[in-house]
Amino acid sequence: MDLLRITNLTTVFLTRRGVVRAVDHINLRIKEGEVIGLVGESGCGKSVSMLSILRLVPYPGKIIDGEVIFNGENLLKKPLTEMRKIRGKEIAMIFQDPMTTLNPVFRVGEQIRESLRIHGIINGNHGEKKRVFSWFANKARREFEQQRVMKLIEEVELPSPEERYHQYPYELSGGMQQRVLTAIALSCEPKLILADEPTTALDVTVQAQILELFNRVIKKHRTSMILVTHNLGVAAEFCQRIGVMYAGRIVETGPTNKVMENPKHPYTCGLLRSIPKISKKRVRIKPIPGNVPDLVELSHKCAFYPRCEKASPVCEEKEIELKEVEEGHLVHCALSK
Amino acid sequence: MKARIKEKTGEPLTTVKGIKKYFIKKPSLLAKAITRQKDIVIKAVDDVNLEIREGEILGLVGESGCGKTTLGRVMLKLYEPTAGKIFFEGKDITYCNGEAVREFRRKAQIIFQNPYASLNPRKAVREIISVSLKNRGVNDPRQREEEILSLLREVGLNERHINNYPHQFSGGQRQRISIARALAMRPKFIIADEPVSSLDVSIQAQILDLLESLQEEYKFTYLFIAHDLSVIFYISDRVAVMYLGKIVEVAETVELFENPLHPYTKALLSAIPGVGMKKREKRIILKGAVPTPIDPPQGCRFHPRCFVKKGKICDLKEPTRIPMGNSHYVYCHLFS
Repeated sequence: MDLLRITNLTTVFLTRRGVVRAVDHINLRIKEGEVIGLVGESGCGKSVSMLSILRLVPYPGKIIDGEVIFNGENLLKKPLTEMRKIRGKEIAMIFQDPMTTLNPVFRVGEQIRESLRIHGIINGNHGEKKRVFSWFANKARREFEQQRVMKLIEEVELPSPEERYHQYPYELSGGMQQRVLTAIALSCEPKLILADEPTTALDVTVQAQILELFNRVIKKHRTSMILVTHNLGVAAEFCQRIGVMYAGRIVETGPTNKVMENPKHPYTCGLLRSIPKISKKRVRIKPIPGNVPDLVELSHKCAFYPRCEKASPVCEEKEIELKEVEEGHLVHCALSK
Repeated sequence: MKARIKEKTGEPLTTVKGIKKYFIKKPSLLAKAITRQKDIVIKAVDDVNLEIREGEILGLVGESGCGKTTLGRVMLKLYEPTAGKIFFEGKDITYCNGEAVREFRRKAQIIFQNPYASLNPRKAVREIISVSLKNRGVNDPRQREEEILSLLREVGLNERHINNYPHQFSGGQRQRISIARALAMRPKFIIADEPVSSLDVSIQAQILDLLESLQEEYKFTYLFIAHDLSVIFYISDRVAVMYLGKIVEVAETVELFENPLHPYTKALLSAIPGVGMKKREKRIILKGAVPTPIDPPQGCRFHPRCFVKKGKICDLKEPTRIPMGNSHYVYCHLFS
């Protein structure tokens, strides 16, 4: 049974220049314990897709089509009060730049604790917050929360946990801040974590540490994860399935090894050929000519058409459908069989 | 396809010996009086020796705070070194002035990392490149115009944009303008300081491709600074690895990636996600974060995080350069 199933999700931004189709009819499925990657360059719509799942798209964005079925319910139709119970508790998010995500005026321990307080996690009981104004009851709750936060700080392997609890974000390095964000995401034991470029701002050795942490945590809690990244190496190593996005659409999706070794969409092929790889023989990279299109002026049936080396009249004939080229491997291209 | 330069091509074009660059922050008089705060010394570059041969691309790689950008700027005389000497074309240019500096600047150029901060926003492309041409001595305006158009073509920009201002271009295009500006001087030596780090993947490829083609045609000498190991692998003939202000290993590219010797290099290569040169056995995960260059560890800078420490000597004594044959040098007690 799918944990999350997205069908035809479409998010647009209504700007003075025109309508920007940031996310254009995307489909995505994820099971329990699965890690899928969403890969693409700046402006392809991957971050907005994540925000759309949690209905956090900022104005002037609007989700205008599609369904996001989580645990059998359509998140897009839920009242906002119900969404608040889901955000942070059932579905958590880890953002890209830890320095701007953490509140600079609150201590780190307090920020991790906030999630527990808001979702009324008392003594491991994910129940409703009891309106008991007794000092004794609150004391027990505070102590429990503090203990739980310490456990989380230890789980994300922050050195000197007692000190960390009382420190401010600026006192921590980028890698440590990212661990704090991970602790916040894990605090209520969510079923799904959306990680939006969590390692982009970090050094490569720190990135390795954070990915290893994610791996351990996911295996332990059987959490699912959607990892958004522009780094194909990270996706290759970490994700079981990946989706390649271009100009708001998922142009290719499938098991990671199949998509990487046997890419079918010209954009995926172009991307793989343009990235320097470390291997026995040095291969000259072949850049994709041109630039990413302006999302307001998409004039072709396929957004990649102007840059595609395989472009042909067939591409303009009719609406392009998602085709299955081999098991589990789908491509959005007029030329695929 | 460009073959990597293997043999020594004679005299080095530029050499640095014993270069140190310390940034000193003095506390206010009040702070000194009340709390006896001492000077804060950031040892960004601490005793570096490096030589770059003519026509080669030397890759300088390391993580944030290792001092690679600072070293690049010292080599270009944008910073004055705290100690040490810089040689260019056999001459000591460490403290030279006036005409000598101007002559050096004609032959050595830089491409900066941030395409949004390295171009004057109030000048059009024509003016930006004209400055370089005037410095080179092209005094005839018509000749300058012709050269600017030719440079724009060469870096892949549309000639019609000659009157546009930086804000009208994308990041990748701005980098092309920076490259044109450097090219206009017809330099011998170019320092590229993380020229593609802030660009998108497919634009990175375009700029790398451009830099490579230009090098093939004009045979520049490059110091290519980057933190992305795949980019370094792709473009460099030789690679120098930096950690906390010091060079820890230098070797030809393929040799370094196939046979890394310094523990830090091994950890760095092991951390690259995705594919590796050999089937990776187990990834080396370093503990902790890079310490700050304000108070670097005694002895070998890497010893607090080293996973194959030799012994007490690592805590006490700084390692010296050890030749390992095949133009491969390492700074580590394990090999002494």
